[in-house]
Amino acid sequence: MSTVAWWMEAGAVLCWLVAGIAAVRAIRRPGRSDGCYRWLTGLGCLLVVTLLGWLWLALDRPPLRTLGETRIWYAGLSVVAGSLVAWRLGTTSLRLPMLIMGILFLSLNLVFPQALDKTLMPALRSPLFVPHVVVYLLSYAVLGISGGMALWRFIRRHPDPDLPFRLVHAGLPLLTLGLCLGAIWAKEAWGHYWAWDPKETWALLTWIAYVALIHGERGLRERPRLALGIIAGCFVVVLMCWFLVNHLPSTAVSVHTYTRE
Amino acid sequence: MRTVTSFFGVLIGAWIVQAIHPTLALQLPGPPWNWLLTAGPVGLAASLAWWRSEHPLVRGLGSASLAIASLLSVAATCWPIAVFPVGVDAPHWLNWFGLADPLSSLPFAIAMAAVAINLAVSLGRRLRCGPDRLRFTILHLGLLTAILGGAAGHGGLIRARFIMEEGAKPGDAVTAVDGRRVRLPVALCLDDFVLDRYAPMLLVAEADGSLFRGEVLIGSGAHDLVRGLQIEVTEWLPSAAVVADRPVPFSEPGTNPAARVVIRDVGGGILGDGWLHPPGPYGSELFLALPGGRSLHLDEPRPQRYLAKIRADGVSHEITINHPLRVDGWAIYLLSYDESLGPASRTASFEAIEDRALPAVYIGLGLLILGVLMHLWKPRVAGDRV
Ligand code: HEM
Repeated sequence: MSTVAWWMEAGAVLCWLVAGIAAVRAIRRPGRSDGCYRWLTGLGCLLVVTLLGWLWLALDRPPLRTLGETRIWYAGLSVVAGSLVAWRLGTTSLRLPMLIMGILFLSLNLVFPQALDKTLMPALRSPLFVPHVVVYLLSYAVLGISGGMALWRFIRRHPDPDLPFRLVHAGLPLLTLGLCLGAIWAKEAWGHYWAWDPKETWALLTWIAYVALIHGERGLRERPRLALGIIAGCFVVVLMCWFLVNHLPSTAVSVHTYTRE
Repeated sequence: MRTVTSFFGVLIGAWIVQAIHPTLALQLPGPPWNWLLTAGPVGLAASLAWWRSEHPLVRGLGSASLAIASLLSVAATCWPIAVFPVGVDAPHWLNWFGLADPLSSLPFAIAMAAVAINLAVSLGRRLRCGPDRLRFTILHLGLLTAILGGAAGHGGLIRARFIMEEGAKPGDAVTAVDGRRVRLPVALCLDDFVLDRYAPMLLVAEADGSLFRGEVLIGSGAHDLVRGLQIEVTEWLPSAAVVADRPVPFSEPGTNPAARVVIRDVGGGILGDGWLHPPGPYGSELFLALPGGRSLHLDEPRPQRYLAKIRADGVSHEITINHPLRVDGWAIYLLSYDESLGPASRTASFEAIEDRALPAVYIGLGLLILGVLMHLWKPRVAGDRV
């Protein structure tokens, strides 16, 4: 099963790589048709969606249990959500950041192939499991594009934080929604909507980082380089919460860390 | 800015007091004081803000800068829980900063109070602004209600953990975590505990101790490929005990399956043949040692679903991990069972919780969700016209 998954992931990475090259060429020669970019991005997304659908059926459970499985969702959501936000905002500037995020996270799965099995622990058998994790991953995808873009603009000394900020305004509500769904589920499963588990505390720290960011937005827009640096830094907190927490001493007492197999 | 500076002054003072007295711990009292202490000052602050919305103190207390300062202070006081196993094995130096028990510390309480006052004051001012900022009003009101419900609820919460054994007499008296004896609204007894498990999977242990699990749920005729080993099940006992290093059919709750397997390398050459059985109450482990210091094991079957069939005042109910039993303001959760016995466990552990502030938390979360959905629908960033 994991071999088939590996080849489908490799196919999607290839599509997005070529789509990325097409996007760069489109920037260099504006006015040319971007059909190649569109088709290959779409094909890569189709491969990821097919892979997730197939895994869901073959594993007989939502493919959201292991870190590797969440990376497939993250990669797909980065490109799909990035395209939707780009369409809504009428910009082409999101093409490269979203493709880079998608390629990066799927490539992690190619380098560290995962074992896939059918087991699902009893606590995850809840109608809130899928919405909670998917909404979280969607917010991470949007915030990831925002963070990646902010970092790029920071390095390139192109200090315009407008688009990264707009993405934060889409990502933070999703993050909040994920947090609320998690609290409601935890109450249903364990009796405590907030138990100060290390992973929960990281989720709070992530949320605080972004809430503080948007409350300081007005002032930060006047200091664009600082703003870009902070937006990129906030995404590091997301990564801590998502998987770097697995490498901290606190993980020993957490009930929420993803299985790493 | 003056308000933020004063807030930091108070916070640092609280920090110093906590560092000098590391054992100082704050707990909210039970009802009605929990509500008075939380909702009282917040209501007062909101009314003051509504009444004198342009007063400099009100502007400061309801400012976005105090929001940032108070939120970052919450982060600065609770981060040790995110990094260290606080309460189990946290570094000693956290004591020097008054953060050995962050959640009961004075600085954390000050930071949380500042968040609540800031929200209340900004809401009081906001209520004068009319419906054009409705989504932020809803969102901030939801947050404040959830925070108040959470804080007050924490003071009034009753939690009791207890274990029930199949066949024991019904009872309603339990000991709460704070040592109080409390009565549940119903008398409970455990009729049956049921644990369904998945079929087991294969496990290859490498010479360096690293473990690699197969992907296939093992059963009659199953095949799997793990770390270059082709493994085929040639005989299968769904339920077995181990006697004199041989598996024999034996049916009792809690018995593990046994599989006879043939192991081939990628070229088809046979590397081993024999029985596998996970360790369990009915026999020790059977595994196969392979060339190069590797070995092949049958992993213990993983739990798929567990449920407790209980009777509450004579009426039968089933409790599973995501479906507690709710009676009269109490919720009874199934927590665990005797894991050493697995499906043979005749006991199950439960937690009964009474949280009268829960509706406030849920109303708050509902408003928060509504507010963020409205914001998502029509995002607005600083600089845009409202
Ligand atoms: C999901 C979380 C949150 C979101 C999306 C959010 C969003 C916003 C936005 C967009 C504004 C500007 C609104 C306007 O100009 O009308 C604002 C203002 C404000 N927020 Fe929040 N907020 C959140 C949480 C918080 C929290 C936790 C606090 C308290 C610590 C807070 C306190 C404030 C204050 C004091 C203002 C300024 C009020 C004013 O200028 O009238 N917010 N918030």
